[in-house]
Amino acid sequence: MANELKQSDPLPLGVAAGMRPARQRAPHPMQSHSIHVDLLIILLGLLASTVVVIALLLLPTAWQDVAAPLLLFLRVIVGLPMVLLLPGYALVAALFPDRSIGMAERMVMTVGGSLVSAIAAGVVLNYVGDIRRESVLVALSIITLAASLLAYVRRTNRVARGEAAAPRRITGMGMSSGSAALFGVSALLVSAAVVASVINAQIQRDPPFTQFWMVPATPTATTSSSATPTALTLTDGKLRVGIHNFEGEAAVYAMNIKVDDEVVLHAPNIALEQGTNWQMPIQLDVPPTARRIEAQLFRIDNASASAQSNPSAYRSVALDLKPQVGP
Amino acid sequence: MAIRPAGPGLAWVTGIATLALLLLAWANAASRDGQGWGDWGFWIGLLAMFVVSLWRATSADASRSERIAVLCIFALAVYLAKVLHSPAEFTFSDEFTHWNATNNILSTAHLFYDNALLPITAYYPGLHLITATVSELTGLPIFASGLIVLGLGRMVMMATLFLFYEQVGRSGRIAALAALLYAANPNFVFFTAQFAYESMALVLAGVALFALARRANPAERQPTAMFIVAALCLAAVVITHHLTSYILLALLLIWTLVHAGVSVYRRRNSAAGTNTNTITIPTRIVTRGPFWALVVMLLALGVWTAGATDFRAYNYIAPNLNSAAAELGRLLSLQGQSRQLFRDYAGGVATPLERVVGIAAVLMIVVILPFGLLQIWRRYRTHSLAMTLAVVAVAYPVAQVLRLTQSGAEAANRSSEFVFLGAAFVLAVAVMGWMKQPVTRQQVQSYKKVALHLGGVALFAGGLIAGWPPWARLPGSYLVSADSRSVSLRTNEAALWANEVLGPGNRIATDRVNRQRMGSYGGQHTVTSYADQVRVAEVFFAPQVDDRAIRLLQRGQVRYLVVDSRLSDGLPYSGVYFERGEPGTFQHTIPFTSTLLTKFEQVPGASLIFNDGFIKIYDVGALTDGQ
Repeated sequence: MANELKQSDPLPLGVAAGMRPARQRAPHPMQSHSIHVDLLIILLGLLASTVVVIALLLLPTAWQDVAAPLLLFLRVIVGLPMVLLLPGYALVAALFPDRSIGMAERMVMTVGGSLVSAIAAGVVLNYVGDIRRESVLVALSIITLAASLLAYVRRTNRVARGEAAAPRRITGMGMSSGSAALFGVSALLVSAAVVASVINAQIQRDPPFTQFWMVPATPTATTSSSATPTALTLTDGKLRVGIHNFEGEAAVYAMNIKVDDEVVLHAPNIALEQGTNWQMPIQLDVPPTARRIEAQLFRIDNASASAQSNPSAYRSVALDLKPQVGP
Repeated sequence: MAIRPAGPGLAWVTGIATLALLLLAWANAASRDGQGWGDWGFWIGLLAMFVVSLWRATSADASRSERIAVLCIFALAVYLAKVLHSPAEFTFSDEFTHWNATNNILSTAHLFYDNALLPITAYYPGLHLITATVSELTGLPIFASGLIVLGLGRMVMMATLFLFYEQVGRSGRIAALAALLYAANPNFVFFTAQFAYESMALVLAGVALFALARRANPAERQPTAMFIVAALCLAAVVITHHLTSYILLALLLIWTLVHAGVSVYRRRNSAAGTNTNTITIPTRIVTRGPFWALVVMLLALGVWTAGATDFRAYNYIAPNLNSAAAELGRLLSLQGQSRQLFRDYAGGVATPLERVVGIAAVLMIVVILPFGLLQIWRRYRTHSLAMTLAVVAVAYPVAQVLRLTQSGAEAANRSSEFVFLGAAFVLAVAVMGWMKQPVTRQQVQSYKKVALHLGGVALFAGGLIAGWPPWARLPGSYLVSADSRSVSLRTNEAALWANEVLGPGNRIATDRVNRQRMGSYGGQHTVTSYADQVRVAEVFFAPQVDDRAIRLLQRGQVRYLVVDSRLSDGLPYSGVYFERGEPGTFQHTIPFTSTLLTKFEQVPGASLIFNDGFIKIYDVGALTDGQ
């Protein structure tokens, strides 16, 4: 194998498999400013992120709703590099102001550095403030700006000493137009496959169903995990009842509400399209001695399941108001 | 970096990977509709990606940049295979836990918020912080943000593996082969691609190891900068995943010891008058070895474990390790019951072909490893990192013994992504050494290439067979307690209903599948033995809601019971209906009795407040508040 090195040789860095050794060539004096082009791009990226975030803050809510798709697109375009590339690139530029690492190494450490920056920013913000959009942007910007400044200083010093600085430029990624077209077509096909899979996965394959529920209208739910549960109470006779149709088709329901086996409310016709829900607050005159409130749901668009032909309800829920513990 | 024009090989890799992904998308869709050919489509697609990548990445005429590009395409394609499995939402059990941890950061703007699904995850927020940051700045939901973060991470990990192995093996072909063989570890395709903290920790650990390997190279011109990169990544690993950080610490410790040994060996064998004699061994260990990385790792672990996590990870990991050790001890003393291989907890048995490939893969590794170790001794015995990887590789056969026990099997499975770091390198050295041996006829060399690709396919397929059960590889109809296969609109909608109508934070007891949804989308506090030290599962197994059951509910302060009648449809594919420690854990032989699920309807004080036909929610507040 031509690429193999002898065991005794130290590995010339970045030349393991056919690469030319990294040359330390000083840039021409006229090129000394061009070595900072990448840092300038970083600054522009930072600026774009800041502008988008400020725009989001200043834009009236109504406008935000109208321009939601465009805003999301803009936020993705500027937000992803802001988190996953820019801080790491700046850090790597500061740490390696020379050409001692290849492009692959630089990219790997760029992403690694960005991930570390996001973690570090979050941990610090947790102790000094909140982890919010604005504070995260400020923290990542500080990291990126500080690292960029350091990179600028170190590169400038190297140039002043007549040493090579800045990474080599990426020129066309060595890709022919045919290869680029193939990559483009591949990306389109794979994207289409992913979108088609998303649509396919969202098709309802579960057996059709209807959610039916009834809870006291006065919230009795605990709000913290350490709170002690509270017994279900119905002091004011107020209830909330709801239906959600997932039958894969429009459905028509009827509902009975019974207090101790006596029907006190009958809703004869509740029509719901697929995916829609219905809920209603109900005020009942519940006697203090009442033991049980039961709600029954019938499907009346389906003869076999209707209230008339089939006395057993399609769904039923019940509140037990007189707990008697134990067997 | 000099970039050569991408050759036709890369175009082949791209084209075939694309076709393979289209086939996989089709196979997943077919499997959702219950068509049996999906399984074949899955294997053909996945193996096509591997073979074409193996062919090009290990080709003698491929350039370095082409090898890296091929590996990145492979990593992305395999990751997309996982995405195509669950393209619309997270479906793996652990993913709900980490979705919840990320959601907690977004909703509270702080770390360490209680995550009842797995409390320890709140104290290792690396992945959650990155995903939350992406979500905050882009406006994307957690699901999309997580996919992007991990997709990028997987490509970086594969490139990093190449760069790392390149430093150790001093050969682009060995590095490419080792990186691809690493992908043959049982957890590569699905487990370490899921939205979970270990997936991100492996990426960061890879970058750290690469930077340390570069730093150890005498030709490195920026050792301090490399050390800073490594130190930052090591600290990030500590914040991201407990187990990965412990194993990384162990690896650094082994490397330091091996480095010391190699230094002694070099000193004894060096010729008089060389530079080696002028550097003392302690100096060599401290200045050129991983010693300072070990110090950084220890410091970071100490600060984070004591300061932020209050040693919670110990309480989480220790019982599992103790259980594995005890079961292995029982097995070795012929007192324990061994685990049946290739059989799932629901009674399903792998096909004969899968069994053959699975066993062949293990045998191939066990047989080839000694040759690789011999090669490493001959070629790399003065290279401390190569020797360290050889030491790690020796753990592979030991891990296979652990697979014979229940707890050991999980330990073996969970360790594979770490053990393969060494095993893949040793295998690659052995295989490339064999490929390089001169042959008299060209035909023999061709046979060797065919054997390389067939062997690679067997290892990759065998790894996946060992690591991921057949029913979980593709989506499909509902299965009982089967994580991604138990995904249903009904379960998700019940959780969303609970969040909207009951409000968040209620204490809920339910089965394994509903728990993940209720605890994430539902925003509820799910009560478990590992989070609350209350075995509420016993309430469901009790023949009636007696005083003991009520006391358990009271101890757990349970407000709602979520009862899914589908549990009685069959045996649990994950081995448990509710959680580990339930009666019959991993040994259920009869399905859950439906009367155990309907018993709550007759309990005075239990109100049925939600009913969708299968899932019923009972308000048991009247039972548990002491009335």
